[in-house]
Amino acid sequence: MVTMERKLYTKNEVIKFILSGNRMVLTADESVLNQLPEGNWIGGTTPYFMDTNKGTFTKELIFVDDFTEITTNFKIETLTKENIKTISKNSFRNGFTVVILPFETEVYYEFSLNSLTYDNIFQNPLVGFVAGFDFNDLGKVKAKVFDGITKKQYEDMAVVMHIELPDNKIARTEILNLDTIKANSEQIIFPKTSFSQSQCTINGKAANIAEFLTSIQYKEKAPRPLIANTNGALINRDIKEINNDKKEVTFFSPVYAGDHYYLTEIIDNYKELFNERLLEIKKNPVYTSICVSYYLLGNLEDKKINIEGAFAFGEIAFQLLNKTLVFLEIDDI
Amino acid sequence: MTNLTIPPKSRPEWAKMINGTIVHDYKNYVLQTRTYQMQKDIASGKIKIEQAIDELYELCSKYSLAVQKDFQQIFKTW
Repeated sequence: MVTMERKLYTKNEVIKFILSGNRMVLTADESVLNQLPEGNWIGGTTPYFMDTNKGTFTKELIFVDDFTEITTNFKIETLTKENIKTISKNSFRNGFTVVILPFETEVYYEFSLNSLTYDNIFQNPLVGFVAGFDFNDLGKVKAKVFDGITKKQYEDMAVVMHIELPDNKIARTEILNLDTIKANSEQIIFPKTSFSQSQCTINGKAANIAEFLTSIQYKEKAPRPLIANTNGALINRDIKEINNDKKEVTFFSPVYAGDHYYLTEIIDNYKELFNERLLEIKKNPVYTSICVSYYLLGNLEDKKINIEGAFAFGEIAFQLLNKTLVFLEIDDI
Repeated sequence: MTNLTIPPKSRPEWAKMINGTIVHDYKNYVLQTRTYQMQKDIASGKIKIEQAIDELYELCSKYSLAVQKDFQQIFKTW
């Protein structure tokens, strides 16, 4: 269906696409996105990619998700923490929406905590990613998003592209999570929805999550998320920090009040497991967002998993996800 | 490919999907996420079951192809 291959392109190739009027989501380092002309594109920053031949770190090439051939219309808008809740207001009757959020900003936190309660959020598939940066530049640079129509960049706003599909096509988003619930895992329930947690219940008894995870050396054995099964969807909440002084655990996505969380099994073969599980995806997705944790934990630089896309600092499929592959497919109807 | 049908709104399984009486690991992500959120909203009193059924039916009508596998397991025939 998509005529343009989803892969890394040079700046000059992408400039040609833009000048041809292509409708695209572009992912690259800030320095190269800054050099692109105005056009029908949105962008976000990251230097980590899974290209057609291998995992690649680059600050020069641009990953292109081109929707030109599948879309009948499109709209681009930028949203703040105050109006991100209206994200579905301007979506088309039939289509999908791509959103890019800058990492750890107010709009990122607002969306992450409340997106599933936004009006009409399920009207069309809502996918996207959290923009990031080179980990070597941690603390020195901020994640950026770009509105190609105005050629403005933002550190504190979300950029959104609404895509309209013809009536004989429909978009469908799915997720792939490599993690599994640990056999005989304790069940953990938190009393509040938040990125940081202290008090909880573990198998029904009052406990402190930082003390518990430290006592079992959960992160030391292998960096792992907590996981919840939400009617069949395995949802990861990646652990950012266990602070034993504050007796607090912070996460890269919000842990929801009342949900049942579990420990996960250790994964020691990311590349092989990925390629095995990717056999479940029968078609070529038109869009993907892959967690940068896979790139780091799986040492995927120069290694190939059988899917292409940008590695993100958070994946979006109606809600913020961690350590997940989000993919979008187009079905004939 | 032709549009596929979904079970009529009068079937009791719709309410059971929403109030959690039917415990089912859905295959389709939008069904997983929408029904889970609806179960929370019903429990908190944010929405009523009738409204939830209307909304879920409308969503599944749109995504009739994607929900077929789950519905064959839940509704069996229609």
